[in-house]
Amino acid sequence: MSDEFRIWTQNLYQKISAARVNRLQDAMCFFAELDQSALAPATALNGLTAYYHQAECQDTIAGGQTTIIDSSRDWRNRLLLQIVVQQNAANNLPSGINYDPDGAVAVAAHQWYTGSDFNADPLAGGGGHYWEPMVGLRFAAVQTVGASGAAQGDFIVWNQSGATKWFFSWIEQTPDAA
Amino acid sequence: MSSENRIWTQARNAAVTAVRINDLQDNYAFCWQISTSALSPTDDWYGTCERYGQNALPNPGPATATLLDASMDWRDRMLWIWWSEVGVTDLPKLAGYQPSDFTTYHNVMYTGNGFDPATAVGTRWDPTAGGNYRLGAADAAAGGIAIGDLCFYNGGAATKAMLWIIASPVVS
Repeated sequence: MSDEFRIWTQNLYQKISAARVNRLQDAMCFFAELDQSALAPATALNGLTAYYHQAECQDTIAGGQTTIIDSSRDWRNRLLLQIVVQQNAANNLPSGINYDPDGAVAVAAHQWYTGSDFNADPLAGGGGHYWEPMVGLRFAAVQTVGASGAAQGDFIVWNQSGATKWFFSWIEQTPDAA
Repeated sequence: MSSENRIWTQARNAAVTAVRINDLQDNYAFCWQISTSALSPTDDWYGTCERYGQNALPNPGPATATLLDASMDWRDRMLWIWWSEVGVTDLPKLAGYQPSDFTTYHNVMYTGNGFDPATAVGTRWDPTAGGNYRLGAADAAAGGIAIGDLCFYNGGAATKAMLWIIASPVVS
């Protein structure tokens, strides 16, 4: 990993001073609930994780096809800040040879809560809490797995648009809502 | 607080190693002013904080704003702020909530130091550009709001909002 973002490089056996620990905290990104917020009055959430990714999702299964975006943690009951950029071909994704930042088909941004009721079973029609930035394209945290191929808690995109979609996304996520 | 965002869990009385301090810096987010910025020529900005919340926004009258946050001085900060108006029965943990049913507005703003919560005049942001809403950092005390508090004036009907704010540190 690059060291370009470090404020300093800590050397082996070098004493870690209080000034340096404080300096580190001054410069770090902290994430907290507004002190007048009524979202979770008993439990303020701290900590934050930012994700980015790109994906291709097909629609070849009647009722909606699930593509898993992340299965590293349980995405249910989270507040998300998500920005989605849709491209019109695989080669136009950031990894592609024709990528152009101005060439997006659509850009959408939203803050939303994933909840814990999305049904990813193709027979169930993609019901529950989801964000649908483009018609037929639903982002969600899986509650009911069915025949979707996902696991409970996976963050997925559910495609019933009738066509393959290409997109990349930036997601900021709260920790567990206790 | 959840431990899932930790890079490691520091055991009690364990030594903090150089490797771990460096790893922490490599993986955590820092916020800097770009090197050619003329926003604050004599000061480097660094660090940031991110806040989120869900707040009731009553409309008690033209002379009162709603307090959003009193944990720090919000004046003279650069904010990247996201705001969504949600219905009273459509809050995230209620059965009526559906993420696709509301719009998220966002903007970059500098809070400055001239917003008066009593009159809602001064540097502020109106998320929907409809004239009813004004968000700003109080530069005067009024209605339980102290100088430096983040507050929101609602000139329309009572409503609720979700907020997600990325704030720069104050200019020293």
